[in-house]
Amino acid sequence: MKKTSTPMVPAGRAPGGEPLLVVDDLHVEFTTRQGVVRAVNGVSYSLNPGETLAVLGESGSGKSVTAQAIMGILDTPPARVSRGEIRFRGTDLLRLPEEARSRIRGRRIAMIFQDALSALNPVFTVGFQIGEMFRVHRGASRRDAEKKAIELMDRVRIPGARQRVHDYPHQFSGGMRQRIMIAMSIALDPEVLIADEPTTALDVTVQAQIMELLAELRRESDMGLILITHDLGVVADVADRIAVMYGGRIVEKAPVHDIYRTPAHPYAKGLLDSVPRVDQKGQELFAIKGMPPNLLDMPSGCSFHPRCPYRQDDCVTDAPPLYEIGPTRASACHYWREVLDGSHG
Amino acid sequence: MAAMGEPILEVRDLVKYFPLTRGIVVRKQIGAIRAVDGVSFDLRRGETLGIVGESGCGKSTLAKLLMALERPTSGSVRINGREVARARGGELKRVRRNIQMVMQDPYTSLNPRMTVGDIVGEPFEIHRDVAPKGDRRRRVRELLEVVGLDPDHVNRYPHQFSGGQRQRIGIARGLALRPEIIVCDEPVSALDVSIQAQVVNLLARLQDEFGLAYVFIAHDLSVVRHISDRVGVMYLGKMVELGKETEIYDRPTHPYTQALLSAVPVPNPEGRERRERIILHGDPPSPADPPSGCRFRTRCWKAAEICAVEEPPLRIRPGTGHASACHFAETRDVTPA
Repeated sequence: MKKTSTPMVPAGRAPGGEPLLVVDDLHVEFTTRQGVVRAVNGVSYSLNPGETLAVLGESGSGKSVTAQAIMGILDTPPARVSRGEIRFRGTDLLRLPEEARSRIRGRRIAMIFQDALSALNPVFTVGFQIGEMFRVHRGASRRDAEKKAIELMDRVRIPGARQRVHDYPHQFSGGMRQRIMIAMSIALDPEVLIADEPTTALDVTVQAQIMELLAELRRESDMGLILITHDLGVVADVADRIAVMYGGRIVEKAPVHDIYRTPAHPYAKGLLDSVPRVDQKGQELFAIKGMPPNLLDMPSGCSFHPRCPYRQDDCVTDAPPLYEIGPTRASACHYWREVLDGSHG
Repeated sequence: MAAMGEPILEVRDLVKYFPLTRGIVVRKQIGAIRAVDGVSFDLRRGETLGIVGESGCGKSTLAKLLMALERPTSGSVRINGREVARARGGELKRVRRNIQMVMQDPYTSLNPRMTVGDIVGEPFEIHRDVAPKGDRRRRVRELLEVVGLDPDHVNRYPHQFSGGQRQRIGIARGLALRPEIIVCDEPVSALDVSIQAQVVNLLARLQDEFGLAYVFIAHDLSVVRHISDRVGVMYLGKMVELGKETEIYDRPTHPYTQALLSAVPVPNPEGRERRERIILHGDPPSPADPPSGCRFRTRCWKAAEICAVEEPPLRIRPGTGHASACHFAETRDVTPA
């Protein structure tokens, strides 16, 4: 049972130079008692090997649902992918039979979750859980799996791995548990790693350790990293490119330096402006007014219009497409030129 | 904003140990969690003292001690010269009126079965002499307006509000008794990023309007910097550095403060390759069994023999203008300009 690649998805670069992973016009709906919620509404992004793409958004923006759709771990029902493609090395994952998909999940596309304590099973030792990856996917023996688990715990720098391999999750601190999660996710050398708020539950000094570890692992293996977060600081530290999500759509896509210098969407600009800066001490912070939209009752036109300082009449009626505003940038705002100008001034 | 004059809150050598016990029938104490271990500071009228530190450093226990929700093992908390820590009954009720709290999680700190009016008006039920019964409804509506909520929503329930609005309800409740001090324990960390600035602005406005003094406990160092006049840094139950906001952020002298500040991701990608970052190794030791001498020495790159033997007191040291609890305190700028 030693299979290293799935026959249906070729290894190596896809024909035609397509990126490693492409999310193309993805729509995800949830059927609830109050009605149909369009959690993801036409999201497209791509990821290249060795690249870090940050997906930035608040709760309800659809950033985690998109990730779950890529992993194929959406609860169906109530969730349903109603349209779109997720191409991994050129093959649409959504069209693969479940069996083929499960050979990719965890092996070639892996994920780290926010809350390591609830993602780990409390009644098994961490060594057993890390080793499970090798037993299930590679048919390794118990003994070999444990040896691999110790190696991995060393690799994610858990001190005293040999002694701690028989400990249970509750015996580890939050930072160490997140390392265990990372060890499990990189066990099979995935080509894509999705990290969903990997450091949100952690203290800053531990966060710095974990982000450093992820960056190192990515450098070593040319793995593509999708980092889902709401933290503008973390994004600025590690991302190559950013996709900003709001109300189930991507509102801005840009290389990291461009968006911090000159955001082109009012929401992205508002978020950046509301970060407290040293020279604003004692002054009122810029605050985006209003609150995030209710997914059951989305505003007409552009879903940001009730909160937007650039709003014009057509924003209420026409939803802006994601305008290409440069070779590597896009903004879903009718008035992106004005926003860009405002960013310069 | 920093008001001078008499401190309204004086904390001296505050200590809180939680006993660790073993056995069910016969309980034996086998040790103690030293959650807060000898913390002293003053808070003046209209001033904001930020308290930063990581989980387990004792900052939330400190908040509970200030509110007299926990009794200290030793030490004192005085509000306007009156001892809180040992007050009981009517006396406790009177001093508590002057210090109120805003909690972290607006989803669990509001009773889902009470209307907003009942939640905000509850302090008047407990302190009946503050507002006569007929006047309470009006006072509640006023409070809702002050925190930027629609007074006509007084009969709604918490679930009908968003996270940011719920936090405003919590703030209105905190303001009801016209306290002089409000303890804010992570007041914005549970909120969406786009909402945090609104609540920070509200807190700043209320401070100006009512002359409030804040103890502002948070782990978001940029928010703390924005709102605080002075900042205290805690590590394993100890205050390791205390000074004016600029002193702590621009000229930190304690290695832990330096590591903490350098670990904060800066929301600006310019120059990120050259940024110097102090990565601490390992996790904080257990507060049940803290290291001898300086508690930070097990993770400190400056640790020497003296650090294991002698605990460095929090005091102003030569060459630095503010108090630091390090034998080798020296200024180092770690925050990028």
